[in-house]
Amino acid sequence: MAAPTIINNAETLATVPHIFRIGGTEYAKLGTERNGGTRLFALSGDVAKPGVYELPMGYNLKKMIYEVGGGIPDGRSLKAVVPGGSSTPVLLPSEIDIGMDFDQVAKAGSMLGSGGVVVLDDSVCMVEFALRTMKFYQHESCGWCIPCREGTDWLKKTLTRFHAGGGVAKDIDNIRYLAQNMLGRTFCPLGDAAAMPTIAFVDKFREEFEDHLDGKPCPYANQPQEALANAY
Amino acid sequence: MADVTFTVDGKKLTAPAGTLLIEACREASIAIPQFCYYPGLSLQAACRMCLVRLEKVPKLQTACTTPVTEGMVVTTESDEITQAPRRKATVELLLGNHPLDCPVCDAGGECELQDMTFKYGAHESLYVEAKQHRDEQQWSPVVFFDRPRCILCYRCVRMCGEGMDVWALGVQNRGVTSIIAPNGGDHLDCEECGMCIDACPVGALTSGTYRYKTRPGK
Repeated sequence: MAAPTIINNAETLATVPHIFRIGGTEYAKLGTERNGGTRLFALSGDVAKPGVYELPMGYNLKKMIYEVGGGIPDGRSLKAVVPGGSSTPVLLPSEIDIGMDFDQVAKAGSMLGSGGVVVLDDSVCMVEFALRTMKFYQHESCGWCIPCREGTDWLKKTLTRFHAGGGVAKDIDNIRYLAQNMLGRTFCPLGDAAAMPTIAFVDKFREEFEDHLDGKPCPYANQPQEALANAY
Repeated sequence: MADVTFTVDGKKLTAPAGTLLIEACREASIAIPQFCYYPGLSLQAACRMCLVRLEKVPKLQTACTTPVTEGMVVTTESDEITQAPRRKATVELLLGNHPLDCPVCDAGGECELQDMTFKYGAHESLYVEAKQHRDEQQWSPVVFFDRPRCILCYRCVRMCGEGMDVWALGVQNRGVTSIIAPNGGDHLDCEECGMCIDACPVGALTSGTYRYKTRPGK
């Protein structure tokens, strides 16, 4: 009990040789002041050159997408960026001129999380993206506690119907309300992870949810959606 | 253990250090709502009904797993805790798949889910999708199981195992398809002591000798 516990993942172990080679102080200097060293960023979705990139902590997100990742292909424009894996709140194009370290992404209202950056271009339907995210969490929920077990399932059901054109205006607030009800109440952070992105999707893309009302077909239905196919 | 002094809803209380907050409150006649907590059984912390606010702790904590400590300041009922998105919301989520067949249910009138619904006022239906349904099962001459009514508090599983040392019940599947099931597959390998029925806070486990024949309290 008295001994410290350390849990290493492959990303941590991959940095060890470099810390030995250049020394801890030099390694820490690669990043920003409170976030030393490098991070492995898994850049995916609508970028010309997706892949796993090792970049210094605090590397500018805009530069990561447009220079490292080669920008958005097929002349399309950027719609949104998920900065740190599916559980992190989505960022708008106006919010991405930030350094990718824990503090700066938190200040922008999201989280650095796992460093899994998902880039979404203007062909992506955010309602479908929210649904796809929720399908994942509904499938992963173990069923132990009430808010996550029931919340993820009702969100999946509601979003499925909503995206298919069966939504009513009340559903939009209901989706947000359901997610808000899971946040901070579950046994483990999976409930939070499902709730946080959902709240951000509704808050930042409300008009896109409204576009699906009144039985209208999804306005993005016939668009190529590489980001969705590659996202998870 | 030495006694510690702490504050619950403005009331100064004293209890032996290490006492669970939910127990210490009960001693002082402060009722914290609970589904999965059952005195004497292992802690589950699954129902999330007993979430309370502890001063200087960022997230709400379950009173059933928090031991009291010196100087602890607790709030058990406030808008932040009880109103949506709090306890009321948890009841709403439970009712989502609940059949609401209270008028004919054996537990009607002595049901903890009814009591919580009444207390927190989750009276509005939020969903239009179909509820999950499964047919009622008979596990033994005495024990009947109605999955739609089950709130998965796991009291029966723990009561049968830890309480009676029979271990005839378990949980199958995961997520929203989780279901309490006999370890014997379609039947209970037990002597039908009925403790699982007794421990059930709702009408999910009912007794064959009583079921649909009379009303509680009669």
